Amino acid sequence: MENLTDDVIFYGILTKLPTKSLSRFSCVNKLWCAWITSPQFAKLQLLNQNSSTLTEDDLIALVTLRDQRLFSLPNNGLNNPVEMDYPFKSPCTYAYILGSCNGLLLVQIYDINDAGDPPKYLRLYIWNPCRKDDYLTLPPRIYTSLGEYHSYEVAVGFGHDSTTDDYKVIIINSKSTTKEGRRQDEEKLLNFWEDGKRFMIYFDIKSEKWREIPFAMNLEEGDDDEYELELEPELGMTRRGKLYVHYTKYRHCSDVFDVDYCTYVHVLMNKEKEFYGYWSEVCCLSSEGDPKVRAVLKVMVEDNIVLVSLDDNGGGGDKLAFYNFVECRRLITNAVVEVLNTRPYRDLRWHDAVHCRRSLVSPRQLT
Amino acid sequence: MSTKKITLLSSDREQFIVDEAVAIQSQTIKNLIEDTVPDEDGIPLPVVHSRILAKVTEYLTKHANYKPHNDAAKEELKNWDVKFLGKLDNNTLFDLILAANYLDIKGLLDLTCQAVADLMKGMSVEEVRKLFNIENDFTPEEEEAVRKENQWAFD
Repeated sequence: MENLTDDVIFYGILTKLPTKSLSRFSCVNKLWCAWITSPQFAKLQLLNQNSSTLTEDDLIALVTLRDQRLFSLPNNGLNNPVEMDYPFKSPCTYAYILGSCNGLLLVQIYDINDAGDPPKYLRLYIWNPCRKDDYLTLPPRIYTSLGEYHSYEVAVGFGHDSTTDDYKVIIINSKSTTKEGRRQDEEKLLNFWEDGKRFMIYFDIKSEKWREIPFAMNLEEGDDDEYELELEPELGMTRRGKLYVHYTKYRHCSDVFDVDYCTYVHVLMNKEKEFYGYWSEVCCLSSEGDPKVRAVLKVMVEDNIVLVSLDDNGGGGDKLAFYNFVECRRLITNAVVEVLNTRPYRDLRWHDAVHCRRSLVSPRQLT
Repeated sequence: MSTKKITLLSSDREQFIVDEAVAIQSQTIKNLIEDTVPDEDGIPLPVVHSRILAKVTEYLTKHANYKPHNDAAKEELKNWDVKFLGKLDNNTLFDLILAANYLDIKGLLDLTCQAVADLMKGMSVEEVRKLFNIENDFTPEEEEAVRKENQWAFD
């Protein structure tokens, strides 16, 4: 048997392997290590993943709990959650996962003091959970624009723009809202999306370009009176750099005996590159078919995946599940319920869980 | 109706006679036909042994005569590929990769490389070194450091 050339091995074979195998094989020898950890290879492997070759091994769910433990859940749902270390962990921080793209996570860190006062410091990181200590700290300019971040009033997106091969952080915030003026009642939530005084910031990671533009969005309403509550707008980007926003509505369903509300999630996508107006609804997810769905936490449009919390015994969102909303197929009803049930974490928050593909992309090498 | 025949000559000088349409799926053979005056015995392929060239022509013949137009046909071709691969031992698989690379047949190269990737997926580092005859040039300390960085992948 003749030996294969490095060319064939590195381009032909290794690009077809899942991230987990590759991370292991960086121990084979120095040449393999250098190639597997190079940005060029990370890109080639991602391109291959985007085709039909994406394996179960390459998809994971990540969940953070209020006590700052981070768990990864394998996509098959058969194995137990694995607790993961992360580099910016400390006893007095809160970490939230704001978004995921190409195996990278946008993580927000709050420092808190013992008295539980409002956060003093807020930082943003891009981190790859498959690369342990490899993370990028984003410039203060981005996170100061988040203000006193509250999920109801600010939407944050993270994505990759393939036309410029750059990662973007996008924030929609309301300029008119002063600290004193903030009221976190339902009326306020509705106003945030209706008063039209919003602006949008985007920051390109590699080129460090910064833009701030007015942002208008018309939400098609229909018979609004039926809806009891509108909550939790969230922003995301597809891997092709298209922006989408989704928001959740709860509608009273009196005909269902033990469920008070049905959940509707509207996903809108922008048509124009410049993100002005022109939003159209790409799908509306509803819990009508499955009354156990309590709330939709995250929608990952390009993968057709939605993360929901389930209400199994009226216990209130202890359980998480991923659905493929095109095939209406449940991807994970995972063992996280065991973890959550042992602790009083009923109020798992929407940005605490994300669906993520594993990749070798290095955050440090993005700039 | 007659189609033009091409004679291919393996490294051990065995002749393989195939339709031109079959042969020119290999970019290398296509270039050789266009650019060179053929040997009277056929087009010489000095790095491909007859044992491997037989496999290559088997693959090319199937893929030239079988242009899938619908999903069912695509599925059948896929099943054929799986069966084709199933009959190969590791040595033949590697030799076939080298041949596909030399002959520049993208479909066959992708297919065989994917087969090796599938084979490697669950392997240990040691098994991979053995598979490719790779010498470990890390010092034990260096290897330990890289392993620690990627600990999750060993669990």
